[in-house]
This record gives sequence, C-alpha cells and structure tokens, in this order.
Amino acid sequence: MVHISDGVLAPEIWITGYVITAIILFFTLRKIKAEDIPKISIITSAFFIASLIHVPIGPTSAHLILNGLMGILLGVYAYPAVFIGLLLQALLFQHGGITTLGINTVDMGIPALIAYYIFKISRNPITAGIACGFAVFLAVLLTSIVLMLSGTEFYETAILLFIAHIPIAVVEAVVSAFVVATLLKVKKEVIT
Amino acid sequence: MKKFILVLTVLLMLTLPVSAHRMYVNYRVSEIEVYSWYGGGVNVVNGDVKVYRSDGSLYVEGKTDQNGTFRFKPEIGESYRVVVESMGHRAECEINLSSTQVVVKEEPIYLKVISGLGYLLGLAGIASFYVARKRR
Repeated sequence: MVHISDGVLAPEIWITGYVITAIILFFTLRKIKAEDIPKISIITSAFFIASLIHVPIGPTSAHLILNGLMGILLGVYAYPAVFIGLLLQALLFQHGGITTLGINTVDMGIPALIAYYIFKISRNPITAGIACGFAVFLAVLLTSIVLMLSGTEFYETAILLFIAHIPIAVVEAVVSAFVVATLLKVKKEVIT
Repeated sequence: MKKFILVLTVLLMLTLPVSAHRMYVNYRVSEIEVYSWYGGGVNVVNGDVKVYRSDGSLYVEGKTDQNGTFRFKPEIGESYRVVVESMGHRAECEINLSSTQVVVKEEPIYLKVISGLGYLLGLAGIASFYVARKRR
C-alpha cells in the first residue's frame, strides 16, 4: 500500500516529489556504465512483478516491495530502477499514478539507497535482511508522512500501514537474506 | 347491410379492448451497488466512498463493506461520479443512468506483466545504445 494514487495529493506535494526525484536521478545516472544496464533491467523487472504478490492482512492487503533488495543489488542505480518500475506499474497495473510518480519514487527509492549504505557496513546476509526489513518500514513511514501533509490523519494511517507491512517486512527480510547468502557464495561480483 | 354493420360493430368491440390493453414494460434503477477492488482481484474493504452529482456536489458518502461493495439510492436521470479512496489509493468511475449497464472489464494480469517486461527490454536497449554512444 505504499503507492499513492493520482488525485490524493495536493499539487505542491507531488511537484516537490518530482523535483527531488529529478535531482537524485541526475546524480545517480551520471556515471552509469553500459555493462550495468542488463543487471538493472532484470532487477527492475523483478520489482515490477513483485507488487502483484499480495498478502492479505486484516482489513487491507499489502504486497511485496523489494526496495531494500534493489538497493543492495544495484547500489545507487536502485533509484532510477525504482522510478522505471513504478512508471510501468502506474501505466499497466494502475498502482500509484503518473502525477504521484515522483513522490512514490522518493518514498521507495530513498529507503533503497539507505538499505544499500546499511549493507555496505558489513556485507553479510544478516545485515542484508535487517536492511531490507528496515527499508520496508521506512517506505511506509515516508508514505504516511506524505499522506499526512495532504491532510489524512497521520496516526491512523501510519498505524494501519505499519501493521499491514509487518509480514511484508519479515518476508522481504528472509527472502533478501537468502538471496544475498546465495549470491555471496555463487556469484560474489554481482553484489556491488 | 344491417348484418354487415352488426358484424363490424362486434369486430370493433373485439379489437378495441385489445389495443387498449397493450402492455408495457420499462425499468427504473432504484439502487446502485458499486464495487471496488485492487488490481489482481483483492476487494477494497472499508474504503471511503464519495458519490458526486454531475454538477460536482457531494450526493452521498460511506464506506465499502467486506466484499468491497457500497449501495446507494440514486435520483432518476442523474449521472454520478463515484470516487473510492483507501489509504492513498484512489479509483473512480462514472455512472450514467441513461445507459443501462456499466461494465468495467479488467485485462488479464499476465498480459500486463508480459507487456511490462517488453517495455523494460526496450528501455534497456535504448539505455545501452545511449550509454555506448556517449562513451565513444
């Protein structure tokens, strides 16, 4: 539930979202290499499809985000990858929206970057799991703050979103820990 | 001649009541049920529903139930805009009571997934081309 739809936010908020996203995209895409593109594309496609995996929780349902894992695997390129993935989700699944694309990228992309820097401290599966679980909650927190700025009651929304995302965070932490453990054994150079 | 008039009268008496009892059937919509779901088929439970008249004023509001549905009684001849919101998600649909049925069909999800992967492949191609050119 971290995708905000069109028409929910005030124009000044989503325009700010686009400005922040444009700045981060500029800095992250500056040094991109042609060899990185296939990897970015594959992980973006995983992110794009992950949002279809729904976990029903109480009155609502939440889906996998995988933003933390993207950060770990892609480093700073996770931000453009989140942007492209969200664009396709908005166009094809109507998850999120076109006006809110910028702010949704902020909500999910910044936690991805933070997960990357947490993982850099010590490259092992346990840090990866913690970083990914944390990235989910941070995405929820940012979404709640954005919704609050638009007038939704903060505590109500934030608490509901947090409860809904506890299983998601656990699932993502476990999945990411295993992915990272496997990659460290099999193909260490994939992890930046 | 007299016999002819008598027959004619009887015939007219027989035919007149028939045309006077011509049957009609028509319909009016006394209740509208809207339903809301997330892509993939999960119902929107407890979503905020707002129904607006064609001039933009609020007609009725409420919340969706367990099945993602919400019912309201419409005024005849009006058209409505229904907006459902749930934790940052939002969807809307138009109800026009002059047309009988409103059918919203969702494309199969696997087609969307395949088209999305196609877009990604295309974007990857364009990006590779651009980066490779820039470096030369």
